[in-house]
Amino acid sequence: MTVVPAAAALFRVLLDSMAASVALAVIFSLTILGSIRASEMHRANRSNMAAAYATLALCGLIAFAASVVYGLLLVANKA
Amino acid sequence: MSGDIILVIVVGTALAFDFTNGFHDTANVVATSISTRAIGPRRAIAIASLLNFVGAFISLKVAAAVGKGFVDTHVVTTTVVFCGLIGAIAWNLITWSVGLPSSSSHALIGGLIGAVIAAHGWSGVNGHGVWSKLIVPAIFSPLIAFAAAWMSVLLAYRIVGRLRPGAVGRGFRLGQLASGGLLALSHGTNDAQKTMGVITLALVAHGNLKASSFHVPLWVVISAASAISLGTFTGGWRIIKTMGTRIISMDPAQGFVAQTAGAAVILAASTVGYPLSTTHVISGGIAGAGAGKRLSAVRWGVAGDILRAWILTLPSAAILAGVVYGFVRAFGTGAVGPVIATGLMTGALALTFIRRARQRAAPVPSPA
Repeated sequence: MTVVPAAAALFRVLLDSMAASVALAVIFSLTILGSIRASEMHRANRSNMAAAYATLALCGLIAFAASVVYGLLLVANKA
Repeated sequence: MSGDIILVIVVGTALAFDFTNGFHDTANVVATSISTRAIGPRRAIAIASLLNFVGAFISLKVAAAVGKGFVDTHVVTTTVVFCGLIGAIAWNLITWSVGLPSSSSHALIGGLIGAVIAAHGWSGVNGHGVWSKLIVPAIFSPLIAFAAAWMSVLLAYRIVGRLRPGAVGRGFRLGQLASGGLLALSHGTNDAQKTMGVITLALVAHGNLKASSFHVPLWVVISAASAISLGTFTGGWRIIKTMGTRIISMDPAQGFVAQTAGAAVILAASTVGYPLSTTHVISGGIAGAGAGKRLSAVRWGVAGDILRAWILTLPSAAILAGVVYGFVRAFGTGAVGPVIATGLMTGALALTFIRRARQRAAPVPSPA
């Protein structure tokens, strides 16, 4: 009876922290990828590709900031 | 009157414990950012100190767990709380002087449990609470941080692996400003609450608050947040001098991932009221980020030391708190025992610091 809620809480910690950690790492890595590739494409005069990578970098940055804020709000509300 | 004196001593001791917690943990919070040169030491410590303060206001679930999850609040007296705190400080002092990596959080809870057992026997301890909210999370949290960091660093390397290393490093250093901030915030959230829980428990024992409607007063939140924040700020200045030798070499991607994984685990645990050892979680994150690059990069011997210290901390702090309770009660139920114990502990602290200072000042013998 009492073991289930404890296991459920632990599983929630596992799931939430794995998802948050992996998502933030992937999003930020994509931001870096977009930023570096945009700069390379710009130097190679491939403006369309440069714009596409710059958009990826910008979207990644916004998603990263939004994820951090959302995560903190979630923690504050649950607590 | 003597009850009031003991309460004042308990609050002062708890805040001193909180200060030393921040002081002790500064290295864990800022080390990764400084070692990858994402940010300078002074700025890192100032930001960490500020975010530790802010973090203390985010959640109160851990405070409630410490205050009423492990021991029966009806059998706790201010003297019991005092003895628990002295037991924890004594254990921290012993481990600090012999260089054993131990958790202040486990020492605090172990001390509290030991003092309750000495005063009322095992019936005063909530065995299920200790198992499900302390021991199980203590075992799993570093493993979760390890797995999260390991998986994250593998994916990060896969995405940025073919890019110029210099540019990638600069990018992740910028990211570390955010991940380091998150880590400091999560540290304040989980660690400051343990002191809040202990002070609130003392207020309940003294009759200032009702056990049935357990809530943490605002002045307790503010004072605990200030103590840990001040400790973090003060502790940092000592670390600056030894930073170059004590930290393992990490690249910025590993630093970013280790901090993010550590912060994610601590924040997720705070929402369900797990009082984790932040030291163990951050160590798990760093080891996972290291293993993601190269398994042999991890110093597994250090992990063994942490495991040994973890196994020893709870029972040792509990035994010390029990001994302190026996000593204090030898002087009766008044404030004389706690006052003498505080004096002895202050003397022991001063002696330890002086001895350490002399050892550092002693000239190193030149090789023959």
